[in-house]
Formats: sequence, C-alpha cells, structure tokens
Amino acid sequence: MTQLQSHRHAISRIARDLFRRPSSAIGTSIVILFIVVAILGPWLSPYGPTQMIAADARQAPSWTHWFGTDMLGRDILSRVIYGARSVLSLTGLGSLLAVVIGTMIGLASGYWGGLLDELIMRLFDSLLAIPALLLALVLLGAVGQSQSSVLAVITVVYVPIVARVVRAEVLSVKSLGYIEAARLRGERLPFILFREILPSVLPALSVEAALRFSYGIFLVASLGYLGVGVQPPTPDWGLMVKEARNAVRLIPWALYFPAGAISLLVIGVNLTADGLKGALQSSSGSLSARERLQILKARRTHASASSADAQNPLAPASEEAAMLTAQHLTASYRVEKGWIDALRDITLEIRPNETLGVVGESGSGKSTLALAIVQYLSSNGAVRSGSLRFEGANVLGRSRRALRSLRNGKIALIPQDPMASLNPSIRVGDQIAEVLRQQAQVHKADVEARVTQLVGHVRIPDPERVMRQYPHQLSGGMQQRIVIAMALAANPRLLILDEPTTGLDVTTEAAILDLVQELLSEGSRSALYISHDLGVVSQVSDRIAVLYAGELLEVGPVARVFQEPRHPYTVGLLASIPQFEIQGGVCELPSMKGTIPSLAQLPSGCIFRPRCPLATERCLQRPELSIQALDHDVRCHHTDQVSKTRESLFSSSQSREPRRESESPHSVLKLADVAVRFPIRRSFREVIANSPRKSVQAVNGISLTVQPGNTLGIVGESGSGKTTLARSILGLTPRSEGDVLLGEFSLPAALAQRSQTQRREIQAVSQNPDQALNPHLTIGVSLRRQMLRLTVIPRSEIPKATRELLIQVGLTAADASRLPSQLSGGEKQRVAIARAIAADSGHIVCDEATSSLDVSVQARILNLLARLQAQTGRAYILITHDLAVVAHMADQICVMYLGKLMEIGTRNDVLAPPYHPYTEALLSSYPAINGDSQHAPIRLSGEVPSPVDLPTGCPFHSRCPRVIGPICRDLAPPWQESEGGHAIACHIPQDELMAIQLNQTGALDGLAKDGV
Amino acid sequence: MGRFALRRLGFLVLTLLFTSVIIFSITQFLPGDVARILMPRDASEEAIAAKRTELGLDRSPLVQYGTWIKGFIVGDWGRSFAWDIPVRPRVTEALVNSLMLATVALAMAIPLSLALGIWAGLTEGRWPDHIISLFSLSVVGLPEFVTGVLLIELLAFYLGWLPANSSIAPGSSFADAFPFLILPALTATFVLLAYVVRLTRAEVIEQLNRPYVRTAVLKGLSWPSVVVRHVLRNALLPTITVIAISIGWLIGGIIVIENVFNYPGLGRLLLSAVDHRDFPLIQAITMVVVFGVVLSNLAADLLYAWLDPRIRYE
Repeated sequence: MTQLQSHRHAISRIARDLFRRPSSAIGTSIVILFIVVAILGPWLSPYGPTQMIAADARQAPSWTHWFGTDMLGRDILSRVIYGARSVLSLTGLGSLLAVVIGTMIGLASGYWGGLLDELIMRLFDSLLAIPALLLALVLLGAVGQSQSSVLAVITVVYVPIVARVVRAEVLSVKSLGYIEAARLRGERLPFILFREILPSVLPALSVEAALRFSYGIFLVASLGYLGVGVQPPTPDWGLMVKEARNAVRLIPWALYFPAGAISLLVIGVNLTADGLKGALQSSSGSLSARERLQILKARRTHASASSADAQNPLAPASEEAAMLTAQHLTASYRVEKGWIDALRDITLEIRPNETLGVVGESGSGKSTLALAIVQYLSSNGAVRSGSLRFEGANVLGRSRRALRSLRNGKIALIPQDPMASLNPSIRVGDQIAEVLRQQAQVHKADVEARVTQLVGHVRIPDPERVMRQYPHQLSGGMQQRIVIAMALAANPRLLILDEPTTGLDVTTEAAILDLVQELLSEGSRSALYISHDLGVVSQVSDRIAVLYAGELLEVGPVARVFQEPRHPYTVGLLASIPQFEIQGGVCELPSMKGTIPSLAQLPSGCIFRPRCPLATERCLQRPELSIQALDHDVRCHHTDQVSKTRESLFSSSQSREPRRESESPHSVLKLADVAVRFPIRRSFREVIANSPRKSVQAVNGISLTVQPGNTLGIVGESGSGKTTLARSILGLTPRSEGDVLLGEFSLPAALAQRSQTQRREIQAVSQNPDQALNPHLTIGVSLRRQMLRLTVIPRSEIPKATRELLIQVGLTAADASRLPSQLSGGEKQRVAIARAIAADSGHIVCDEATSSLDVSVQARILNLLARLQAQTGRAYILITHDLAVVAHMADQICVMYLGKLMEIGTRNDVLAPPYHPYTEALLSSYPAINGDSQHAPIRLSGEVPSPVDLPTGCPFHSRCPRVIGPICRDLAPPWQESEGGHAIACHIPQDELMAIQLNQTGALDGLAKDGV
Repeated sequence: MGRFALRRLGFLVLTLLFTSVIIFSITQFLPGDVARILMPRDASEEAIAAKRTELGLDRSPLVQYGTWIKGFIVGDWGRSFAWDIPVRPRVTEALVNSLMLATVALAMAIPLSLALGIWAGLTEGRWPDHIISLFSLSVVGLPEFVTGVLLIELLAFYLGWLPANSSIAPGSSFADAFPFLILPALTATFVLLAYVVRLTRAEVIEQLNRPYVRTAVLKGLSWPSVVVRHVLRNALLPTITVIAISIGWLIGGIIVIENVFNYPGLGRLLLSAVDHRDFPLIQAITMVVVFGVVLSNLAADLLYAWLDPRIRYE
C-alpha cells in the first residue's frame, strides 16, 4: 500500500511539474487533445472517412465541411480524425511494444553483463547503423506492405534504442548502495530487477518513450507519403499529403490540414518530452523568465543603492584599514516559492596580511560567501542588501569590465575540486599563461619563463615537463598546485580559498596546507580560508569566523575561539570532533541535538535556539554580535553562562555502556592471505605477442582476525585497497586467493554462492547515505525486506519489529512510511544502520559510513554505533580515511598501503611509537586543531605507485622518509611481531624505530622550549 | 591514438559483418519463397523449382550468405530482379547523385545550425535564445515531405527562383546539377537544423556552467576569450558526434526528399526496388548506405579523439 502511495506521489509530482511550465503544459494538452479526438473519432467526425460525396468534391472549408473536401469529395476533417486514430494506435502500440521488449532486454543485458551483453549490444549497434527509415523500407519490402507490418517495423526499429537507454541506466544504478544491500540480503533476481532497479530506470524510460513516440509519428507519416505504409483508402496523414500534393494549387486545404495535424502532434509530444526531462532532472534547476527577471531586478536595484552609498564621503574611517569589508551582507537564491537567504546580515572584515578562517557545516553559507565576494553567484543568486568593499571600493553592482579589473591582480579564488576547475583540453602551462597575458607589465617574451617560475614556486618538481601536460595527466594534489599557481599569477592582494584540500588524501592535504601557509606568509597578502574542517582552519588562520545556517555566530582570534569559545554552537562543534586521547572508546562524544534548520523555515529569534541547551525566553529575540573581549565578537545572550559551563554544556549524561565481550554469540571472522586482483584486458598486440596477463593487484595477501564484539579499524589513503578488502569480505567483489573463515567454516568467495545464514552474518553500512536507500521504496519497505529475507520473524510481527528497530536507531515509528528523500543525510545513515542490524548479524562492515556527514552529525552516528555494539556484541569492520574516527572507535587498527598490511595491532599500540614509517606519516599529516601534534611534520613525496606494477621489496620504499638502503627496494620487509599482537612490516628493527621516533618528538619539544 | 584507431577500425569491420547478416537474413529468408514472388502467379511448380535452383535458393543459408558476401566484396553485386541489369553501375550512379545532394545539404546545414545553436546557448533565457528555440521547435514538427512541398510552392511556383523538379539527367556533373540541388538541400537543412541547434545549445549551456569556465572568468579574462578558448572549444567537441549522427538522419531524410523532388539518387532507387521487391538491389543499396554511416561514425570518433587530449593520451 505504501508502495502504491509512493508511486502515486511520484506520478502526481511529475504531472504537476509538467503543467507548471507553460511550454510543457501546452505540449501535454495538445497530446491529450489528440488522444481524446482519436478515441472519440467515430462520434466526432461528421462523415465516414471514405464516404465520397461527388457533388461536394474540391470544396473549400465551410460550415458543412470545416476542413473542406478532397478531389473525390471526401470530408477532410473526418479523414484527419480517422488518420489520428490510425497513426496514434500504430505508433502507440508500436512504441509500447518496443518499450516493453527493449526494457526486458536492457535490464537483462545491463544486469548480467558479460558475453551475452556484449553480443546483444554489438548486434544492436549494427541495427542502429541502418537508418530507421531505410530499415523500415527494407523490412516492408521483405514482408509486404500492410498495417500490421508497419506495426512490426516500428517495434523492430525502436527496440535497440530503448534497450540501450535502459541498459545504460541499469549500469548507472547497479553498483549503488541500495542494490548492493539487496544482494547482501540475498534478494532474488526478479525482485532486484523489477522492484529495485526498474523504478530508477522509469524516468529515463518515459522520456525515451515520448521521443520514440514522436519519431514514430514521423516514420508512419513518411511511410504513408512514400506509399509503402498504410494503403489507400485507409485515411493516413502521410498518404493524404501525398494525394493532396498533386493538386496543391487547386485544393491547398487538403495539404494544410493533415500536414498541420502531423506538425502539431509532433511538437506537442516533443514539448512533453522536454518537460518530462526537465521535471525529472531537477525540481528547481531552471527558472522561469519571470523569476529570472526578478533576480536581475533585485541585483540592479541593490547595486544602484550601494553604489550611491559608495559615493558617500562619510564612509566609516575604520574601513580603510581593512582589505575587505562586508556590512550587513545578505545573499539569496531565488527558488520556486520565493527567495531563500543563504547568508543573512553578515558583517566582517579581512585585514591586510591576515588570514581569516571561515568554518561551518553544510548549509552554513560559506561557499555563498566566497562566491559573493568574487561576484560569481549562480544565475539564481543575488546580493539583496548590505555592502561589500575591497580596499574601500564598492564591489557590488560593478560592470563586467570593472569586475575584470578586480579579478586581475586584486582578488583570486582557489576552489574545491581542482580537476573540474581546470579546462580539460588546454595544457596547464597555457592556462597559467592566459593570466599573465592579461597583465600589461608582463612582457610577451617573459611569459613562458614566468610560468615556469610560478609552477616551480608551488613546489612542483620538473616544472618544464608538467607545464606541457593536460590536467587529467596530473594527480589531484598536482592539479590543486596548478590552480594555486594560476591564482598567484596575477599577484592578487586577496586570496579566497574555498575548501582547497577537501577530497584530497590526508598526506596530500598536509603538503598543500604547508604550501598555502608558506604562500600566505610571504609578501603582503590577505586570505579568506573556508573549510568544514576545524583542524585545517586552525592551522592556517589568524582569526576565525563561525557560520551557522547563514549567520555569523562568533568571530575572533584563532587561539581564543578554540580555547575559550563563547557561543554554544562553537562549543558543540569543537566537542563533536573525535580526539586522539589514549584511553579512547570509553565515553560517548558530546553531541548537539537536532539538525541545522532548513533555510526555508528558519526559527525566529536566535538561529541556534532549537538546538541550544541554554535557550530561554530571551532567545526568541535575535541577539546582536557583541564584543566579548578584544576582537572577539559573539552573537549570543548567554555568553557568561557558556564560559562557566563550557565543559559540561554538551557532554553526554551517560558514559558508554560497558561491553559484554565474552557473551557475544558470534563467531570469529578470520582472513587468511586474501588477495583480490582485477585482470586487465590485453590488447590485440599483446595477445599476439603472448605477453603475460597483467592485473590490478588491489589487495595482496591480507591476514587478520576480527574478534567478536570488537571493532577493527582499517586505515589507508585512496588506492590502499581498504574498500576492495571490505567488499571481498562481503562477497561483493570475489577474492582471487586466500580464505575468509567464519568460525571454522570457509565463506564462498562470491555472494551468490553464500547461504542465507552466511549472508546474514555479515552486513554493511555504505559510504553514501544518498545511495544507501532505494529512493522509490519507503523506509518501512526497505527494513521489512531485510527481515523477510534474513530473519525468522513471522510476517505479522514485522511491522512491530520495524517500529522497534527505528526507535533503536533514534528515529520514530512514523518514519517507516517516509521516503528517503524526506530524510536528512544523518537520518538516512541511521536507516542504513537499522537495516544492517535488522537481522542478528555478527559483523557489520562500515565503509566510510560517516565521511560524508558533518562533524556534529558524525558524532551522533558514532555514538549510536558504539551503543549498539555494547548492547548486542556485534563486531565492526570500520573502514575510514579519518584517523580520529578510528582512534575513537577501534579496538584493533590495521594500516594498509598499496593493498598490503603495513602495521596491525591494538589501538594503543598502533597510535604510539614504534610506528611503521607510513603510519607515522599519516599521523603526522592529520590536521589537528591548533597544530598541537606531538610529532614533527613528516611529508611524503612522490605519487602512489601503480597497483599494476607493484614496487619490488617494500611497497612503501619509493616514498618512505626512513629508507635505510637498497634492502628496502630489493627485499620484502619481515613482519616484526611483538607481544600483544602488534606487528610492523619494516626492515628497521622495532626498537630502532622507537628510538628514532621518540627522539624526533623529543628534539621538537626541545626546539619549542628553546624558542620560549 | 594508433591503438585507438585500430580498435575502432575493428569495430567497423565487425559492425559491417553484423549488418550484412541482418540485411541478408531480412531480404533472403523473411519474404518466404523469393522464387514464387518472382515467377508469374500461374507458373508451374517445376518452373518455380527451376528458378529456385537458378537463384541458388536451394542451398544451405550459410552457403547462400557466403556466396553473396564474397560476390559483394569482389564487386559482383548481382543482377536486378526487376530490370535484369547489373546492380553495381546502377547503384554507383545513384550514389554519386545522393552524395552531391548530401554535400550541399551539409554545407548549408552545419554552419548555420552551429551558429544558431551557439548564439542561443550564449544568450540562454534572453530574446535571441527564445526566438531561435521557438524556430527550431516549430521546424521539429515539420516532416521533410511537408517542408519540401511548401518550399516548392514558395520558391519554385510563387517566386519562380528555382526549379521545382530535380530529375537531373543521368551522369550530370556537379555544376550542371547544382541549381537543382538547392531546393532539396534546403529541405534537408530544415531536417538537420532543429536537431543540431538544440544539441549545440544544450552543450554550450552545459559548458557555461562548468567550474573551469568560472575559473576562466575569475582569472580576469575578457568575455570573448572565455567564450572562444574555454566554452566553444569544449562545447563543439560533442557536436562532432552530433554531426556524424545527423548524417544517418540525413540519409533517412534524403530518401523522402529525393522522392518529393524526383531526384535520381539512392532513395528513389530504393523505393522502386522496394515496390518491385527487387532484393539484390535492396541489399546493395542498404549495404552502401550502412557503409557510409559506419564510415562517418569512424571519422567522427577519430576526429574527436584527435581533438580531445583525454582520449589522445590514453
């Protein structure tokens, strides 16, 4: 029933979207009109379609014959109406058949893949190489010309096209979390194909069906015109045009009306298809002309107001000192229902030679701030009030030319995602040179030398070579360095850095942060550094501003804000970050209740009120930014109380429940020499030359044990093979070698060969909450399927069990009837956890389960996972790149590099010296708040080697800062085991490692003391 | 790049092989008894059997296909059932005529529709875009035979600028044929226009929203150089594929257009072959057309790869 409701909901939403835009509303109305006319044809048409009235021949349109008559005295209106019947039933039925058959083939071909898929697709490619009309003619030539052969022809011509579209869609959803979850619970094929995959394919399929329908109309009409389709005297539009053509000067109406009918219907279907496409792509993507006009008007009105303001000579004197000043800045986006204010009343300044850090969780408006400063808000965005000045000059409402002068050497942006920010088809050196050529003072002949200098300046080895490369040939870290070089090329006075290291590995991030710090310290340059990561911001900033839901809550010097935060939100945010405290995993992370409010429904008064433990009546009044200390402003009524109760403000009342390890009923999970390889297809030449088969060696000889009720953390950077390892445990990616043992029994490599009991034992929570749940099934249905497939709970008990499960993960029973789209990211991840624990599984694989969540949401999910473990004695295999999360959660940690284990041991053993040099580098790269890292900075050079040609000896030798000699390159390192199961794969003896590593920290401490 | 080209060439051969099987199966086995279709209605069973042997229809399908494809490759395309003449010269002559028409059509359609598409994309949501989009939408609904008939009415009969009938003499040179080519080519332009304009516009709009265009603007480049160096360069790449696909479209359109204008090309030849169920002729024409389509796809793939460094340096 809920399933039906969700479908009805989706259909009514699409219908509403179709009629929202005038063009698709017109199109859909036309199509509906034609269909109605076709159905009611016999009752609507005044005459029979072949009825000849000799006396009425060649009559112009009149009241008796609205569309006139043809040479034989047949009524054209009646023939057009009957023609509609013929064309609509032929194309309708033909496209329907093609859609049904094509969908079946596409689903099967896409899901199974392999040789069958390749064969079918090759065959279809060949069929598609024959133009549709040509194929139709050939087919009609072979089978003879009749109505049924036209129908068959339409079907044959369109099946391959539909099948290809469906197949592509299947491929894009096949590897999503919710399909894998269905496979993990042993769902049968028909359910996966028709309940899980088909609904996701339907949107694209409906667009395709509409397009096929419109081409089908053309095809039928063309065949009619050519005289090989529907035969006379059957009324057919194409045939009518053909007949009218010879007498076009005599009775032009006989041509115009059937031709008009074709055009109108095709245009209608096309508009509907466009509308469907738009409705399915996004609900708020495109704007109506009226909305666009309102945005332009808002921009213009405000711009003229603020430029008038700019001429005011009585501007505050203090502004002159600042490099950039924002006063009461409000930036908004136009959406369907009106304006949404993504930034409200922001007042801040960036001073010369200063770096201002801006932190905030998603939805805080930090990127909008960056884009507002560089005046590049998206097409539906506008600054609606307030002022923005750069060195005293107004930034808002500038002409394109005036903006260019600002961008040439005054303000530069370094955005997130360097790959997307670089033009893929221009060499990186040329992209930097473009900036230099804009500058008058750079001589043409010097451009190349200057580019080389810039590329070298951002610490890229071999700049001459890198300059000539295209972006896709560089690693992510290199690309970001190029983007930085490009920003520096114009020698800007202010740098805006918007999450420049997000998405990079921790060691790369550390190196880029070093570079950024270095660049910011040289010359007189100011910067605005935006990040969600408090650790990163603390390392580069002088002052820090905390944004929350579009408002500035606290601003002040870094040391003060982090040590003496005065806003409850800042306190909560800082407390949410897992810490490296040695006695980890015993207490819950302090966490804030609730979620960040939607910008469309903001609470009145203080924006943080609904989540604040100190909220009182007074907070219904919006607090102003008030000065707490020198340079430290806070927007809160209760700052005194915050400073008094800071420690206990969010700390959870309950400490973590003690675990009942010995009682855990589950078996030990053991990996013995597990390897996963992906063979690479050999090229034709390689097959001929009989060169050896190569493969990507993603996981290489991993052995480890997961104790029942314990958490094993697996850390490593991208390419370390940690996700592949997890997938091979789950059976999603079959292992190539080795064994996975559950208790005494070996688990089959492939999921398909495992029994339901075996599948039940290991479940998963995947990384991306948006892909973890089928968007077309309600939460209740998703959980119910899990219990039906994996548990013995009787059907009648399942609704009750679902409710209990939802409450257990901190949701409400009412959530069962909601769709995933109605939940926040954190809530979705809670449902995914509920699904994983729905059956009595002993092991849960969490692959980056919290990495896409905000830190405050992450804290609550980590608490939930810890609580569930304490209650039920499940084991977790926790895969993450975030060292703090592992330090907080894990009992055992293993460190992976290039598919191999580098170090394994208990949490305390791995996080303290002696470390494996790679572990040491990882820990050293972790951006801790205020750089209170105990380790001397260690940075890795070079790139991760290819997993196809693994380095000989120690896989880490090419980047290891502690290489001792050729032995590292030539010999695989031994496993040095010590008591407690701690093992390191390294040639350096453990005690020596210990000595070096302790010494280094000691030396650093000594330096620090000397400095004081 | 070399390996890429080689792989594409392999695909081409494979596609041709598959299509030849498809076409041969449709025309040789689907119609039932070809010999019976060819012989007069009152022919005796013996006569039909003799005809069957004469055409080789009594041999195994594999042998029939083998003989046919071998003959096709060495240039023996068989004899026409209907006119009892060798197929190859007839098809080559029609092919030359069709190619002349297609060339003029492409030369008119591609620059015009690219220009309109780019203009519309750059002015998204403003009046040039609205006008161009409305125009291309209304052209979408017009089938070739309607456009053709209306253009004849307007330009040939009403204004008298161009000949209404394009039935040129066999073996006409390009210069002789040119005046007769303009009207049919113009009709074909309308077919392509709507399609290419819409796709080009969408591509330009997509590129404009890319982060690297933002980078280019924020670098302080002038708007024209942002458009030329960053937007168009990447927007026109997919258009190459679009043009290749539109050649397939154009062939479909040309079949109709040639019949509207009585132009002696492959389309008109095919239609009469279909009418007479002249299977050797149908087979030959279809193979030639498929070869053209596959070849233009190959050319587009190679050109794309050559222009896109991401593929070139694979």
